[in-house]
Amino acid sequence: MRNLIFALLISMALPASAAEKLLLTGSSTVAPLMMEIAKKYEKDHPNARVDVQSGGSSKGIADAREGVADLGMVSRSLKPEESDLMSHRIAIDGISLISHKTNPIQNLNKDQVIKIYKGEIKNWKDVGGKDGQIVVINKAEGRSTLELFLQHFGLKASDVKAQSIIGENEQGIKMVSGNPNAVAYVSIGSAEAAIANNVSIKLLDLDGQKPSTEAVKTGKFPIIRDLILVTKKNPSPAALDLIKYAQSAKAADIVKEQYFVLPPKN
Amino acid sequence: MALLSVGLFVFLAKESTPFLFSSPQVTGNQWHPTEGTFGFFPLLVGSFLTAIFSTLFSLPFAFAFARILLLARRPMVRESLRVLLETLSGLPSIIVGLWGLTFLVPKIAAVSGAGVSLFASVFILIVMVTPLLSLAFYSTFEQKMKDIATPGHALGLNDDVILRRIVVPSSLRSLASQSYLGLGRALGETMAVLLVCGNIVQIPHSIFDSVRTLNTNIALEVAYATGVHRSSLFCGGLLMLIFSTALLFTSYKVRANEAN
Repeated sequence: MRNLIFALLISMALPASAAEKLLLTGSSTVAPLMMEIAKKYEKDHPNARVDVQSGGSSKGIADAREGVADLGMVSRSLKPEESDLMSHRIAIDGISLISHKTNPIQNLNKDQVIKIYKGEIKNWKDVGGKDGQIVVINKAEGRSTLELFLQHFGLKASDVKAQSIIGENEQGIKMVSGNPNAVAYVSIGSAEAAIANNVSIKLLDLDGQKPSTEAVKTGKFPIIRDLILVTKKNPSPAALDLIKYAQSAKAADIVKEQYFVLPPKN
Repeated sequence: MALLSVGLFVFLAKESTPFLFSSPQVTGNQWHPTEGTFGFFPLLVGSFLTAIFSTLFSLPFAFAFARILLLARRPMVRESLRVLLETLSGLPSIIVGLWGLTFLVPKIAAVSGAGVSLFASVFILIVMVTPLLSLAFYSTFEQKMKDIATPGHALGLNDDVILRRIVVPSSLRSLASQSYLGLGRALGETMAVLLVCGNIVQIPHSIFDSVRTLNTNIALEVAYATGVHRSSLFCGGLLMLIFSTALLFTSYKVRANEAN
Protein backbone atom coordinates (compact mmCIF):
# COMPACT_ATOMS: atom_id res chain seq x y z
CA MET A 1 0.00 0.00 0.00
CA ARG A 2 2.76 2.40 0.97
CA ASN A 3 4.61 1.59 -2.24
CA LEU A 4 1.49 2.42 -4.25
CA ILE A 5 1.17 5.84 -2.61
CA PHE A 6 4.85 6.47 -3.15
CA ALA A 7 4.55 5.55 -6.83
CA LEU A 8 1.52 7.83 -7.22
CA LEU A 9 3.37 10.76 -5.67
CA ILE A 10 6.37 10.25 -7.92
CA SER A 11 4.19 10.02 -11.00
CA MET A 12 2.45 13.26 -10.06
CA ALA A 13 5.77 15.03 -9.70
CA LEU A 14 7.20 13.96 -13.02
CA PRO A 15 4.97 15.77 -15.55
CA ALA A 16 5.54 19.06 -13.76
CA SER A 17 9.28 18.88 -14.23
CA ALA A 18 8.88 17.92 -17.87
CA ALA A 19 6.86 21.07 -18.64
CA GLU A 20 8.40 24.33 -19.81
CA LYS A 21 7.74 26.94 -17.15
CA LEU A 22 8.00 30.65 -17.88
CA LEU A 23 7.69 33.47 -15.35
CA LEU A 24 6.65 36.98 -16.36
CA THR A 25 6.62 39.92 -13.95
CA GLY A 26 6.18 43.66 -14.38
CA SER A 27 3.76 46.30 -15.52
CA SER A 28 0.20 46.19 -14.21
CA THR A 29 -0.96 47.56 -17.58
CA VAL A 30 0.62 44.73 -19.56
CA ALA A 31 -0.16 41.95 -17.05
CA PRO A 32 -3.86 41.48 -17.93
CA LEU A 33 -2.93 41.34 -21.63
CA MET A 34 -0.18 38.76 -21.09
CA MET A 35 -2.44 36.72 -18.80
CA GLU A 36 -4.93 36.22 -21.62
CA ILE A 37 -2.19 35.56 -24.18
CA ALA A 38 -0.59 33.07 -21.78
CA LYS A 39 -3.86 31.20 -21.35
CA LYS A 40 -4.20 30.80 -25.10
CA TYR A 41 -0.52 29.85 -25.40
CA GLU A 42 -0.93 27.11 -22.80
CA LYS A 43 -3.92 25.73 -24.72
CA ASP A 44 -1.86 25.55 -27.92
CA HIS A 45 1.23 24.18 -26.17
CA PRO A 46 0.08 21.55 -23.66
CA ASN A 47 3.51 21.20 -22.09
CA ALA A 48 3.92 24.87 -21.33
CA ARG A 49 3.21 26.65 -18.04
CA VAL A 50 3.22 30.44 -18.01
CA ASP A 51 3.01 32.38 -14.76
CA VAL A 52 2.14 36.11 -14.92
CA GLN A 53 2.57 38.45 -11.94
CA SER A 54 2.37 42.21 -11.81
CA GLY A 55 4.49 44.46 -9.58
CA GLY A 56 5.34 47.40 -11.80
CA SER A 57 7.47 48.12 -14.86
CA SER A 58 10.57 48.70 -12.71
CA LYS A 59 10.16 45.27 -11.14
CA GLY A 60 9.81 43.74 -14.61
CA ILE A 61 13.11 45.26 -15.67
CA ALA A 62 14.91 44.32 -12.45
CA ASP A 63 13.63 40.74 -12.52
CA ALA A 64 14.50 40.22 -16.18
CA ARG A 65 17.97 41.62 -15.59
CA GLU A 66 18.66 39.32 -12.65
CA GLY A 67 17.12 36.27 -14.27
CA VAL A 68 14.44 36.05 -11.58
CA ALA A 69 11.84 36.26 -14.34
CA ASP A 70 12.15 34.89 -17.85
CA LEU A 71 10.40 37.93 -19.30
CA GLY A 72 9.73 41.39 -17.91
CA MET A 73 6.59 43.33 -18.81
CA VAL A 74 7.14 47.05 -19.22
CA SER A 75 4.71 49.81 -20.21
CA ARG A 76 7.25 52.16 -21.77
CA SER A 77 10.26 51.99 -24.08
CA LEU A 78 13.62 51.14 -22.56
CA LYS A 79 15.86 53.97 -21.42
CA PRO A 80 19.48 54.29 -22.62
CA GLU A 81 20.78 52.93 -19.33
CA GLU A 82 18.70 49.79 -19.90
CA SER A 83 20.43 48.84 -23.14
CA ASP A 84 21.70 45.62 -21.56
CA LEU A 85 18.19 44.24 -22.18
CA MET A 86 16.36 43.30 -25.36
CA SER A 87 12.95 44.78 -25.96
CA HIS A 88 10.09 43.13 -27.87
CA ARG A 89 7.07 45.28 -28.60
CA ILE A 90 3.68 43.61 -28.36
CA ALA A 91 1.23 46.51 -28.38
CA ILE A 92 0.79 50.26 -28.19
CA ASP A 93 -1.26 52.07 -25.59
CA GLY A 94 -2.24 55.68 -25.15
CA ILE A 95 -2.81 57.81 -22.07
CA SER A 96 -5.86 60.01 -21.96
CA LEU A 97 -7.62 62.30 -19.54
CA ILE A 98 -10.94 61.04 -18.28
CA SER A 99 -13.83 62.73 -16.54
CA HIS A 100 -17.22 61.73 -15.24
CA LYS A 101 -19.81 60.86 -17.89
CA THR A 102 -22.03 63.78 -16.91
CA ASN A 103 -19.34 66.45 -17.27
CA PRO A 104 -20.36 68.78 -20.14
CA ILE A 105 -16.72 69.43 -21.06
CA GLN A 106 -15.64 67.40 -24.06
CA ASN A 107 -12.19 68.81 -24.82
CA LEU A 108 -9.22 70.27 -22.99
CA ASN A 109 -6.25 72.12 -24.51
CA LYS A 110 -2.68 71.39 -23.51
CA ASP A 111 -2.54 74.76 -21.76
CA GLN A 112 -5.73 74.10 -19.80
CA VAL A 113 -4.48 70.69 -18.67
CA ILE A 114 -1.22 72.21 -17.46
CA LYS A 115 -3.04 74.93 -15.54
CA ILE A 116 -5.53 72.46 -14.02
CA TYR A 117 -2.80 70.12 -12.85
CA LYS A 118 -0.76 73.01 -11.48
CA GLY A 119 -3.77 74.16 -9.51
CA GLU A 120 -4.00 77.48 -11.36
CA ILE A 121 -7.44 76.68 -12.79
CA LYS A 122 -9.57 75.45 -9.92
CA ASN A 123 -13.12 75.44 -11.19
CA TRP A 124 -14.78 73.70 -14.12
CA LYS A 125 -16.55 76.94 -15.06
CA ASP A 126 -13.17 78.49 -15.90
CA VAL A 127 -12.85 76.05 -18.79
CA GLY A 128 -16.45 76.42 -19.90
CA GLY A 129 -18.13 73.82 -17.74
CA LYS A 130 -20.51 73.81 -14.78
CA ASP A 131 -19.57 75.49 -11.53
CA GLY A 132 -17.68 73.00 -9.40
CA GLN A 133 -14.27 72.63 -7.83
CA ILE A 134 -12.05 70.46 -10.01
CA VAL A 135 -10.92 67.34 -8.17
CA VAL A 136 -7.50 66.63 -9.66
CA ILE A 137 -6.30 63.04 -9.52
CA ASN A 138 -2.63 62.32 -10.07
CA LYS A 139 -0.59 59.13 -10.21
CA ALA A 140 2.00 58.09 -7.64
CA GLU A 141 5.63 58.90 -8.34
CA GLY A 142 7.69 56.29 -10.11
CA ARG A 143 4.81 55.08 -12.28
CA SER A 144 5.50 55.15 -16.02
CA THR A 145 2.05 56.67 -16.71
CA LEU A 146 2.96 59.66 -14.54
CA GLU A 147 6.37 60.01 -16.20
CA LEU A 148 4.82 60.06 -19.66
CA PHE A 149 2.14 62.54 -18.60
CA LEU A 150 4.68 64.93 -17.02
CA GLN A 151 6.98 64.63 -20.01
CA HIS A 152 4.25 65.46 -22.53
CA PHE A 153 3.00 68.47 -20.60
CA GLY A 154 6.43 69.71 -19.57
CA LEU A 155 5.70 69.47 -15.84
CA LYS A 156 7.79 68.43 -12.87
CA ALA A 157 6.36 66.08 -10.26
CA SER A 158 6.45 68.86 -7.66
CA ASP A 159 4.49 71.22 -9.96
CA VAL A 160 1.36 69.13 -9.67
CA LYS A 161 -1.22 70.13 -7.07
CA ALA A 162 -3.67 67.28 -6.79
CA GLN A 163 -6.53 66.39 -4.47
CA SER A 164 -5.86 62.68 -4.62
CA ILE A 165 -3.10 60.34 -5.67
CA ILE A 166 -3.78 56.86 -6.97
CA GLY A 167 -1.72 53.85 -7.87
CA GLU A 168 -3.40 51.63 -10.44
CA ASN A 169 -5.45 52.75 -13.47
CA GLU A 170 -8.49 51.00 -11.98
CA GLN A 171 -8.36 53.09 -8.84
CA GLY A 172 -8.39 56.27 -10.90
CA ILE A 173 -11.34 55.04 -12.94
CA LYS A 174 -13.22 54.11 -9.77
CA MET A 175 -12.64 57.54 -8.25
CA VAL A 176 -13.70 59.45 -11.37
CA SER A 177 -16.84 57.36 -11.80
CA GLY A 178 -17.87 58.31 -8.26
CA ASN A 179 -17.25 62.06 -8.52
CA PRO A 180 -18.79 64.36 -11.18
CA ASN A 181 -16.02 66.92 -10.64
CA ALA A 182 -13.05 64.62 -10.95
CA VAL A 183 -10.42 64.46 -13.67
CA ALA A 184 -7.65 61.88 -14.02
CA TYR A 185 -5.37 60.36 -16.66
CA VAL A 186 -5.24 56.64 -17.30
CA SER A 187 -4.34 54.09 -19.96
CA ILE A 188 -6.78 54.39 -22.87
CA GLY A 189 -7.09 50.61 -22.94
CA SER A 190 -8.29 50.39 -19.37
CA ALA A 191 -10.65 53.37 -19.83
CA GLU A 192 -12.30 51.92 -22.92
CA ALA A 193 -12.67 48.55 -21.23
CA ALA A 194 -14.39 50.25 -18.30
CA ILE A 195 -16.70 52.25 -20.58
CA ALA A 196 -17.66 49.02 -22.32
CA ASN A 197 -18.63 47.78 -18.86
CA ASN A 198 -20.91 50.79 -18.33
CA VAL A 199 -18.67 52.57 -15.84
CA SER A 200 -19.64 56.27 -15.68
CA ILE A 201 -16.56 57.85 -17.18
CA LYS A 202 -15.68 59.31 -20.54
CA LEU A 203 -12.49 60.09 -22.40
CA LEU A 204 -11.67 63.75 -22.97
CA ASP A 205 -10.28 65.03 -26.25
CA LEU A 206 -6.88 66.66 -26.13
CA ASP A 207 -6.41 69.77 -28.33
CA GLY A 208 -9.39 68.59 -30.36
CA GLN A 209 -7.92 65.13 -30.91
CA LYS A 210 -10.15 62.22 -29.87
CA PRO A 211 -8.20 59.61 -27.88
CA SER A 212 -9.48 56.56 -29.73
CA THR A 213 -7.50 53.41 -30.47
CA GLU A 214 -7.72 54.49 -34.13
CA ALA A 215 -5.96 57.79 -33.37
CA VAL A 216 -3.31 55.95 -31.38
CA LYS A 217 -2.71 53.57 -34.26
CA THR A 218 -2.27 56.34 -36.83
CA GLY A 219 -0.12 58.33 -34.44
CA LYS A 220 -2.57 61.26 -34.43
CA PHE A 221 -2.97 61.03 -30.67
CA PRO A 222 0.22 62.33 -29.06
CA ILE A 223 0.52 60.60 -25.71
CA ILE A 224 1.36 57.02 -26.54
CA ARG A 225 3.68 54.36 -25.18
CA ASP A 226 4.95 50.97 -26.24
CA LEU A 227 3.95 47.89 -24.27
CA ILE A 228 6.96 45.62 -24.37
CA LEU A 229 8.40 42.37 -23.12
CA VAL A 230 12.03 42.54 -22.06
CA THR A 231 14.63 39.81 -21.85
CA LYS A 232 18.37 39.54 -21.40
CA LYS A 233 20.40 39.63 -24.60
CA ASN A 234 20.23 35.82 -24.98
CA PRO A 235 16.72 34.67 -24.11
CA SER A 236 15.82 30.99 -23.88
CA PRO A 237 14.08 29.32 -26.83
CA ALA A 238 10.94 28.92 -24.70
CA ALA A 239 10.87 32.65 -23.98
CA LEU A 240 11.44 33.52 -27.64
CA ASP A 241 8.60 31.19 -28.57
CA LEU A 242 6.18 32.99 -26.26
CA ILE A 243 7.33 36.38 -27.56
CA LYS A 244 6.79 35.31 -31.18
CA TYR A 245 3.35 34.03 -30.20
CA ALA A 246 2.46 37.31 -28.50
CA GLN A 247 3.52 39.23 -31.60
CA SER A 248 1.69 36.93 -33.99
CA ALA A 249 -1.79 37.01 -35.45
CA LYS A 250 -2.86 34.45 -32.83
CA ALA A 251 -2.58 37.09 -30.10
CA ALA A 252 -3.92 39.96 -32.21
CA ASP A 253 -7.54 39.38 -31.17
CA ILE A 254 -6.61 39.49 -27.52
CA VAL A 255 -4.73 42.77 -27.97
CA LYS A 256 -7.77 44.29 -29.65
CA GLU A 257 -10.17 42.89 -27.02
CA GLN A 258 -8.25 44.73 -24.33
CA TYR A 259 -8.47 47.97 -26.32
CA PHE A 260 -4.77 48.15 -27.02
CA VAL A 261 -3.35 48.85 -30.46
CA LEU A 262 -1.33 46.43 -32.54
CA PRO A 263 2.05 47.79 -33.53
CA PRO A 264 2.25 48.62 -37.25
CA LYS A 265 3.81 45.87 -39.34
CA ASN A 266 7.38 46.87 -40.13
CA MET B 1 9.31 34.49 17.76
CA ALA B 2 11.76 36.93 19.27
CA LEU B 3 14.34 35.83 16.74
CA LEU B 4 11.89 36.59 13.93
CA SER B 5 11.19 40.08 15.26
CA VAL B 6 14.87 40.85 15.65
CA GLY B 7 15.47 39.45 12.18
CA LEU B 8 12.79 41.74 10.79
CA PHE B 9 14.32 44.74 12.50
CA VAL B 10 17.78 43.92 11.17
CA PHE B 11 16.41 43.39 7.65
CA LEU B 12 14.58 46.74 7.59
CA ALA B 13 17.59 48.53 9.05
CA LYS B 14 19.86 47.00 6.45
CA GLU B 15 17.56 48.00 3.57
CA SER B 16 17.29 51.53 4.93
CA THR B 17 21.02 52.18 5.04
CA PRO B 18 21.44 53.40 1.44
CA PHE B 19 18.80 56.00 2.16
CA LEU B 20 20.12 56.99 5.58
CA PHE B 21 23.67 57.33 4.37
CA SER B 22 22.75 59.45 1.37
CA SER B 23 22.19 62.44 3.69
CA PRO B 24 18.66 62.85 2.40
CA GLN B 25 16.57 65.97 2.46
CA VAL B 26 14.05 64.97 5.14
CA THR B 27 13.00 68.38 6.35
CA GLY B 28 10.23 70.29 4.72
CA ASN B 29 6.83 68.86 3.96
CA GLN B 30 7.33 67.68 0.40
CA TRP B 31 7.60 64.05 -0.64
CA HIS B 32 9.03 63.98 -4.17
CA PRO B 33 11.54 61.14 -4.22
CA THR B 34 12.19 61.53 -7.94
CA GLU B 35 13.38 65.05 -7.15
CA GLY B 36 15.24 64.15 -3.97
CA THR B 37 12.93 65.48 -1.27
CA PHE B 38 11.87 63.02 1.42
CA GLY B 39 9.72 64.97 3.87
CA PHE B 40 8.66 62.32 6.41
CA PHE B 41 6.85 64.67 8.74
CA PRO B 42 3.46 64.82 6.93
CA LEU B 43 3.55 61.02 6.71
CA LEU B 44 4.07 60.73 10.46
CA VAL B 45 1.25 63.19 11.03
CA GLY B 46 -0.98 61.17 8.70
CA SER B 47 -0.24 57.89 10.49
CA PHE B 48 -0.79 59.32 13.93
CA LEU B 49 -3.93 61.30 13.19
CA THR B 50 -5.67 58.36 11.51
CA ALA B 51 -4.66 55.88 14.21
CA ILE B 52 -5.34 58.05 17.25
CA PHE B 53 -8.62 59.58 16.10
CA SER B 54 -10.04 56.23 15.05
CA THR B 55 -9.09 54.50 18.30
CA LEU B 56 -10.43 57.38 20.42
CA PHE B 57 -13.74 57.48 18.60
CA SER B 58 -14.06 53.69 18.73
CA LEU B 59 -13.98 53.75 22.53
CA PRO B 60 -17.51 55.05 23.19
CA PHE B 61 -18.93 52.52 20.72
CA ALA B 62 -16.86 49.73 22.27
CA PHE B 63 -18.17 50.60 25.73
CA ALA B 64 -21.74 50.77 24.49
CA PHE B 65 -21.59 47.45 22.65
CA ALA B 66 -19.80 45.69 25.49
CA ARG B 67 -22.47 46.93 27.87
CA ILE B 68 -25.27 45.63 25.62
CA LEU B 69 -23.55 42.26 25.32
CA LEU B 70 -23.32 42.06 29.09
CA LEU B 71 -26.60 43.49 30.27
CA ALA B 72 -29.22 43.14 27.53
CA ARG B 73 -32.18 41.14 28.82
CA ARG B 74 -33.06 39.20 25.70
CA PRO B 75 -30.55 36.50 24.71
CA MET B 76 -31.57 37.12 21.08
CA VAL B 77 -30.22 40.67 21.26
CA ARG B 78 -26.98 39.58 22.90
CA GLU B 79 -26.41 36.71 20.49
CA SER B 80 -27.12 38.66 17.32
CA LEU B 81 -24.89 41.54 18.39
CA ARG B 82 -22.11 39.14 19.27
CA VAL B 83 -22.38 37.39 15.90
CA LEU B 84 -22.45 40.75 14.11
CA LEU B 85 -19.34 41.98 15.92
CA GLU B 86 -17.47 38.73 15.38
CA THR B 87 -18.32 38.79 11.68
CA LEU B 88 -17.24 42.40 11.33
CA SER B 89 -13.98 41.78 13.13
CA GLY B 90 -13.23 38.88 10.81
CA LEU B 91 -14.04 40.85 7.66
CA PRO B 92 -11.07 41.25 5.33
CA SER B 93 -10.08 44.86 5.66
CA ILE B 94 -9.82 45.37 1.90
CA ILE B 95 -13.59 44.80 1.68
CA VAL B 96 -14.15 47.64 4.13
CA GLY B 97 -11.78 49.72 2.00
CA LEU B 98 -13.71 48.94 -1.18
CA TRP B 99 -16.98 49.79 0.53
CA GLY B 100 -15.38 53.04 1.66
CA LEU B 101 -14.25 53.92 -1.87
CA THR B 102 -17.51 53.04 -3.60
CA PHE B 103 -20.05 54.13 -1.03
CA LEU B 104 -18.54 56.47 1.55
CA VAL B 105 -16.17 58.58 -0.55
CA PRO B 106 -18.79 59.94 -2.98
CA LYS B 107 -21.00 60.86 -0.01
CA ILE B 108 -18.16 62.79 1.62
CA ALA B 109 -17.33 64.44 -1.73
CA ALA B 110 -20.88 65.81 -1.78
CA VAL B 111 -20.08 67.62 1.47
CA SER B 112 -16.56 68.86 0.77
CA GLY B 113 -13.53 68.19 -1.39
CA ALA B 114 -12.57 64.98 -3.09
CA GLY B 115 -14.15 62.58 -0.66
CA VAL B 116 -10.91 60.75 -0.10
CA SER B 117 -9.81 62.22 3.18
CA LEU B 118 -8.72 61.95 6.78
CA PHE B 119 -12.41 61.65 7.64
CA ALA B 120 -12.92 58.65 5.35
CA SER B 121 -9.81 56.92 6.69
CA VAL B 122 -10.84 57.44 10.30
CA PHE B 123 -14.38 56.26 9.52
CA ILE B 124 -13.35 52.94 8.05
CA LEU B 125 -10.76 52.39 10.78
CA ILE B 126 -13.52 52.88 13.36
CA VAL B 127 -15.54 50.22 11.52
CA MET B 128 -12.58 47.88 11.86
CA VAL B 129 -11.41 48.66 15.38
CA THR B 130 -14.77 48.91 17.16
CA PRO B 131 -15.73 45.21 16.88
CA LEU B 132 -12.29 44.27 18.15
CA LEU B 133 -12.47 46.54 21.17
CA SER B 134 -16.12 45.73 21.87
CA LEU B 135 -15.43 42.02 22.15
CA ALA B 136 -12.26 42.61 24.18
CA PHE B 137 -14.01 44.97 26.59
CA TYR B 138 -16.93 42.55 26.88
CA SER B 139 -14.68 39.68 27.86
CA THR B 140 -12.99 41.87 30.51
CA PHE B 141 -16.33 42.97 31.90
CA GLU B 142 -17.70 39.44 31.87
CA GLN B 143 -14.78 38.13 33.92
CA LYS B 144 -15.06 40.84 36.51
CA MET B 145 -18.84 40.64 36.58
CA LYS B 146 -18.79 36.92 37.34
CA ASP B 147 -16.85 37.55 40.56
CA ILE B 148 -18.63 40.67 41.68
CA ALA B 149 -22.24 39.98 40.67
CA THR B 150 -23.33 37.95 43.69
CA PRO B 151 -21.77 40.15 46.37
CA GLY B 152 -23.06 43.18 44.49
CA HIS B 153 -26.62 41.85 44.37
CA ALA B 154 -26.39 40.99 48.05
CA LEU B 155 -25.68 44.66 48.68
CA GLY B 156 -28.83 45.56 46.77
CA LEU B 157 -27.10 46.94 43.68
CA ASN B 158 -28.45 46.25 40.22
CA ASP B 159 -26.27 45.11 37.31
CA ASP B 160 -26.09 48.50 35.67
CA VAL B 161 -24.69 50.17 38.78
CA ILE B 162 -22.30 47.27 39.37
CA LEU B 163 -20.98 47.68 35.86
CA ARG B 164 -20.64 51.43 35.97
CA ARG B 165 -19.40 51.94 39.49
CA ILE B 166 -17.38 48.81 40.20
CA VAL B 167 -16.44 46.77 37.16
CA VAL B 168 -15.39 49.57 34.83
CA PRO B 169 -13.30 51.57 37.30
CA SER B 170 -11.48 48.44 38.44
CA SER B 171 -10.68 47.26 34.92
CA LEU B 172 -9.25 50.50 33.59
CA ARG B 173 -5.76 49.13 33.18
CA SER B 174 -7.01 46.10 31.27
CA LEU B 175 -9.15 48.30 29.08
CA ALA B 176 -6.24 50.64 28.45
CA SER B 177 -4.02 47.74 27.50
CA GLN B 178 -6.66 46.46 25.07
CA SER B 179 -7.09 49.95 23.64
CA TYR B 180 -3.39 50.10 22.89
CA LEU B 181 -3.81 46.93 20.86
CA GLY B 182 -6.72 48.55 19.05
CA LEU B 183 -4.43 51.50 18.34
CA GLY B 184 -1.87 49.06 16.99
CA ARG B 185 -4.48 47.61 14.64
CA ALA B 186 -5.38 51.08 13.41
CA LEU B 187 -1.73 52.01 12.92
CA GLY B 188 -1.06 48.87 10.94
CA GLU B 189 -3.99 49.01 8.56
CA THR B 190 -2.76 49.71 5.05
CA MET B 191 -4.75 48.48 2.08
CA ALA B 192 -8.14 49.76 3.15
CA VAL B 193 -6.79 53.17 4.13
CA LEU B 194 -4.89 53.32 0.83
CA LEU B 195 -8.16 53.37 -1.07
CA VAL B 196 -9.83 56.15 0.89
CA CYS B 197 -7.15 58.46 2.26
CA GLY B 198 -6.29 60.33 -0.96
CA ASN B 199 -2.55 59.87 -0.60
CA ILE B 200 -1.58 63.51 -0.86
CA VAL B 201 1.51 64.17 1.25
CA GLN B 202 0.45 67.19 3.28
CA ILE B 203 -0.49 68.26 6.77
CA PRO B 204 -4.28 68.30 6.66
CA HIS B 205 -5.99 71.57 7.57
CA SER B 206 -9.44 70.04 7.75
CA ILE B 207 -10.76 66.53 8.28
CA PHE B 208 -11.89 66.59 4.67
CA ASP B 209 -8.34 67.04 3.39
CA SER B 210 -6.45 64.14 1.89
CA VAL B 211 -3.61 62.51 3.87
CA ARG B 212 -0.97 59.85 3.39
CA THR B 213 0.30 57.52 6.11
CA LEU B 214 3.68 55.78 6.36
CA ASN B 215 2.00 52.48 5.46
CA THR B 216 0.04 53.68 2.45
CA ASN B 217 3.21 55.40 1.25
CA ILE B 218 4.99 52.07 1.12
CA ALA B 219 2.09 50.24 -0.52
CA LEU B 220 1.68 52.98 -3.11
CA GLU B 221 5.28 53.37 -4.20
CA VAL B 222 7.18 50.16 -3.53
CA ALA B 223 6.33 48.51 -6.84
CA TYR B 224 7.96 51.28 -8.82
CA ALA B 225 10.67 52.54 -6.49
CA THR B 226 14.33 51.96 -7.20
CA GLY B 227 17.58 52.83 -5.43
CA VAL B 228 17.43 55.49 -2.75
CA HIS B 229 13.67 55.91 -3.19
CA ARG B 230 13.11 52.22 -2.45
CA SER B 231 15.43 52.43 0.53
CA SER B 232 13.49 55.40 1.90
CA LEU B 233 10.34 53.27 1.90
CA PHE B 234 12.10 50.60 3.96
CA CYS B 235 13.12 53.36 6.34
CA GLY B 236 9.43 54.26 6.70
CA GLY B 237 8.75 50.60 7.44
CA LEU B 238 11.45 50.63 10.08
CA LEU B 239 9.81 53.62 11.74
CA MET B 240 6.48 51.79 11.78
CA LEU B 241 8.13 48.73 13.32
CA ILE B 242 9.67 50.85 16.07
CA PHE B 243 6.33 52.51 16.83
CA SER B 244 4.33 49.28 16.91
CA THR B 245 6.92 47.59 19.11
CA ALA B 246 6.87 50.55 21.50
CA LEU B 247 3.08 50.37 21.56
CA LEU B 248 3.15 46.65 22.30
CA PHE B 249 5.58 47.11 25.18
CA THR B 250 3.43 49.87 26.64
CA SER B 251 0.40 47.62 26.44
CA TYR B 252 2.21 44.80 28.23
CA LYS B 253 3.60 47.09 30.90
CA VAL B 254 0.17 48.49 31.66
CA ARG B 255 -1.24 45.00 31.97
CA ALA B 256 1.66 43.86 34.13
CA ASN B 257 1.09 46.80 36.46
CA GLU B 258 -2.48 45.80 36.91
CA ALA B 259 -1.58 42.22 37.77
CA ASN B 260 0.41 43.59 40.67
